[in-house]
Amino acid sequence: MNHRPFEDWLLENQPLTPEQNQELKEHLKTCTTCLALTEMDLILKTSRMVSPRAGFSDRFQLKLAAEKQLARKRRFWGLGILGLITILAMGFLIVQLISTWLSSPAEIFVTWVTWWVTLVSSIRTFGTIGLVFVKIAAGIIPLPLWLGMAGGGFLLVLVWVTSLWKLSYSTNARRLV
Amino acid sequence: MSDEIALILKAQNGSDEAFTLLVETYQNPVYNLCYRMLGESEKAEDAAQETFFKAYRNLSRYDNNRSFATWLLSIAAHHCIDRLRRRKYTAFSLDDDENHAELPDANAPDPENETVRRETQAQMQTLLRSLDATDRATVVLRYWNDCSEVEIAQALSLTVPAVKSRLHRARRELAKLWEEETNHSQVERRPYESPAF
Repeated sequence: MNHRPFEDWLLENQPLTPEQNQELKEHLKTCTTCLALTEMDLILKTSRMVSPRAGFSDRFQLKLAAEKQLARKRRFWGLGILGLITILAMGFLIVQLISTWLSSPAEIFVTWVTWWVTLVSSIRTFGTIGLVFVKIAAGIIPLPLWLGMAGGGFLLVLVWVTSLWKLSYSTNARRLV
Repeated sequence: MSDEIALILKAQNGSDEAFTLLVETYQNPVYNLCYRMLGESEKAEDAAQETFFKAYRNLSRYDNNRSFATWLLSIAAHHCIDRLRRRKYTAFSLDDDENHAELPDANAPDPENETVRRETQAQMQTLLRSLDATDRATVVLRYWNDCSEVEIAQALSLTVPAVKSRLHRARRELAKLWEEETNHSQVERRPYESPAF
């Protein structure tokens, strides 16, 4: 019999008949590969567990307490900064509100109209600039290239969205095990 | 087993004492897995502690129908695989290995045999390092933690045929290296063993 079935018996850890056992013993006398496989299996099976230094759980408790304290500190500072930002924002809004109340209705109307005029004229200006650029580019770049660029852009977005989805899926799967 | 479930439920309800008892119960298998994976006691200690932290933080996600041991070992294995992939452990401290090899058996009837056994185990630990991180994890889970192929597949997010194939490949690789190692040491010893004339 050739080497392969003996290796399969050893790798599969199949229960062997007395005849097969005898055949395997004979094979092991000549095959160093199978002998090494048997020896390595025996070494692995007789290996003992390695233990951590004494006081592992005490060290864990200490670290846990330290981490909890750090989390408390972080929460405290986070809430503090958030509170400060909220107070500043509220203060700013209150000042604006008070100044509006204190000014005359005509002033409020003028400010409001000026704000809207500025916004609309800015949008129109940017629109005009954009149109000029598009017209120039349309003259320079041929239509197939435009289509190619649009298609490429679409593919890139598709690849980006797919990889984000896959990444988040695998991370979630690993977190849940 | 029901005690364990009670402990897990208590820990899930926020009892640190219950979780500490779980740490005490599982510290050896988790630490052993980390040590066999990373090969250094300090890194194994860090990885084992980190495993328990991760378990503590994600305890609410633990499915009570699954084995807690497999869940913990899964976290430990993934953590070690990530660490091994992030940086290669090229430097291997032999001193560390000697200091932290298996504890000698005080009741061993034959000290000489015990020494040989420990040397063999140290050699085997070195050979383990030649395996790919996931293959190493399958071997450790199979031989030290007595996990079934299904449990290994669950722990490492693999299919059962993939686990089988990885185990076969890893055992073949280890046997090949072991064969080379033993042949090499025999060749090295021969001149000293034979008489000079």
